[in-house]
Amino acid sequence: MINKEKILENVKLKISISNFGEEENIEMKKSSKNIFKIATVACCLLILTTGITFAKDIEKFIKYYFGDDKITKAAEQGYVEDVNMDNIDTDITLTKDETEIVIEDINVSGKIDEFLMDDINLSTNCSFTFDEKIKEYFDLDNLQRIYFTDLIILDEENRIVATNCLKPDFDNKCIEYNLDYDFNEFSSNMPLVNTSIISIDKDTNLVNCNINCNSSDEFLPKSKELTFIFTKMRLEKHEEYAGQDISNGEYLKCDSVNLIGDWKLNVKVPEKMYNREKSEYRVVGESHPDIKVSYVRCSESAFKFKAWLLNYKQPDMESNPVYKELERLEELVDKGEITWEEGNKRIQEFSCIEENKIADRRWMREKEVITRDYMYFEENEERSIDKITHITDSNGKKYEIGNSSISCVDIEQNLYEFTADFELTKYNATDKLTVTLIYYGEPVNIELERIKE
Amino acid sequence: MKSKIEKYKNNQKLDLEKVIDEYSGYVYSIIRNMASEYLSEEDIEEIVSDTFFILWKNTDKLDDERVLSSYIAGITKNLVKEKRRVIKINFDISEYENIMQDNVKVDMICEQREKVNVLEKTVKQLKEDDILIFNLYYYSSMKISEISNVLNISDFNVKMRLHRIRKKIKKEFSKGGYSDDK
Repeated sequence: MINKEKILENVKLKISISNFGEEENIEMKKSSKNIFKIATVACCLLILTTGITFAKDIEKFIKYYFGDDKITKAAEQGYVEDVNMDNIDTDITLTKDETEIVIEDINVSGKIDEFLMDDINLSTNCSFTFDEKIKEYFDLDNLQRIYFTDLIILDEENRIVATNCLKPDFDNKCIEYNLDYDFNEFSSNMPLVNTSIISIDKDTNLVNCNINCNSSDEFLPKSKELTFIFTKMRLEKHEEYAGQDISNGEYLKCDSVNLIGDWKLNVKVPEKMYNREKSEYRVVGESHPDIKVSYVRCSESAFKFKAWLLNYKQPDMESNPVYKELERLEELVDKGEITWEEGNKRIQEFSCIEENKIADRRWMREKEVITRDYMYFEENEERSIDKITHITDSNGKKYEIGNSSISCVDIEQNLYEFTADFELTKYNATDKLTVTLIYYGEPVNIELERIKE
Repeated sequence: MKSKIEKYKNNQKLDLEKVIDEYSGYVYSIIRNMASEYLSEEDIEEIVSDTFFILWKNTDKLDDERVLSSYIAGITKNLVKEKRRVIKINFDISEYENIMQDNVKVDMICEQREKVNVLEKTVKQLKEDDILIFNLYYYSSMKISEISNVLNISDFNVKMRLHRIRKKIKKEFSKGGYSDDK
């Protein structure tokens, strides 16, 4: 009898190959066509590593998430909502990857503590309190990552504001909540969701975390009510902990548990957040023939700049010395000189060695016009100038780009995107601004003017 | 098997999983009824997969008001005919013509299928992880950063692997007499 799963996998593979073929053909026409192609940029959110702090009040919430010592303009404007929500209890089933242990009847309570929402950001601080019993299966003290793998955020009009779901979960959620969405269409332009841990209180088993959604090309909707829905929570231990196992040949072992429950956290969005006005800028005058600005936006919490780099050329990977070594290892596997397991282990180990990471980044910085991994560079390294260096307002005030910025290039689409949180916002941006960036070593000034509605 | 195409479309995209779930048995029976004695299980599986692939490639051309089974039966019949030519077996196919409920036409994308089949063997020889990366990138349209998150490996590693996969495929592509025109 027919094996449907196998058929589906075969068809998927055929489609992948067909898409690959088409994309390769498209790539050949890139120089003339790609500037019209709009796509989202995969951004890397800066994970702040300034130590663990409790974010029990709004000011600290802003300080923590946006990594700024100053009280921000947004906080001054009261643009953060303190949510008085009771804890919501959920009985969960726990499964452990390695041992396949399945435990039922563990209680996890959760609530939303604070949030803000504007055209660019939806940022939420949540707290979860775990049953003491969880400690038998997972060491919360070493918790490094928390994932809500089927998170979907719906508003009062049944719009999906953001989601973490991959296709199967997405389709199931659409059926369950009667949502008229197509995954492929939605995912091409959906807000990106990042989760980070803020604090862990080992005495009370309380974990505070931040869920942040960055808009893509679309503005976030002017929602009046939000419901955070998820049934899967994954807890993973410190990467360092996993790394220690390298010496025992057990790298990649990641201690983790999956919790299955039924969480629905609902918050009312205050009027000041949904009754907001868009603020956009347009380019005035000449800037650089290779840089075509797609849009510039300002919100209550962020400044966002997006441009196509018309002559951006993806560097040849084979000129990368780190890549060469990895390729050599792969060839050893191909020739049967080492086993696949051994090769994979060596590749993983090689990729994780700090000096190789640095060599790779250095290569990228030399070869790429703008290095999207820039923010992970060590502090004492010479600052790369291949990014927006500063923005100047009409009063001559310079906004240097700080730690809370995201700067990345979508290597597939030749798009450069830059977002700075709480540096320059709707509250302090003047009608005219100048963005300065360095393009292949040369400073380029882009003059902007606010679009009057 | 009288459901209209629109039932299987969501925002103009074909819900492949649903179609395969509901129609793979149907396709299988058509093939078995037409040529079971001449075809191996592997051949049958290939035809079933090709049927859905062709259907997917023709999504834009499918008339929402027609029943899906008519398209599926038409494609399957043509694929069996094609296979018959390849293995040089003659048999009277006319008795199966009534499977077609309407005179529907789809593009059999012969040349494309040939290319895909050439490459399929190469891709299937890749490591499981690489096939996963290839599918996540080219089928699920995930970005490199998303793939690295899902697989818990670095962006660099994903980029490197994709590069190698592309290189391997292109190599096979040119071996098969095709060119990527670069």
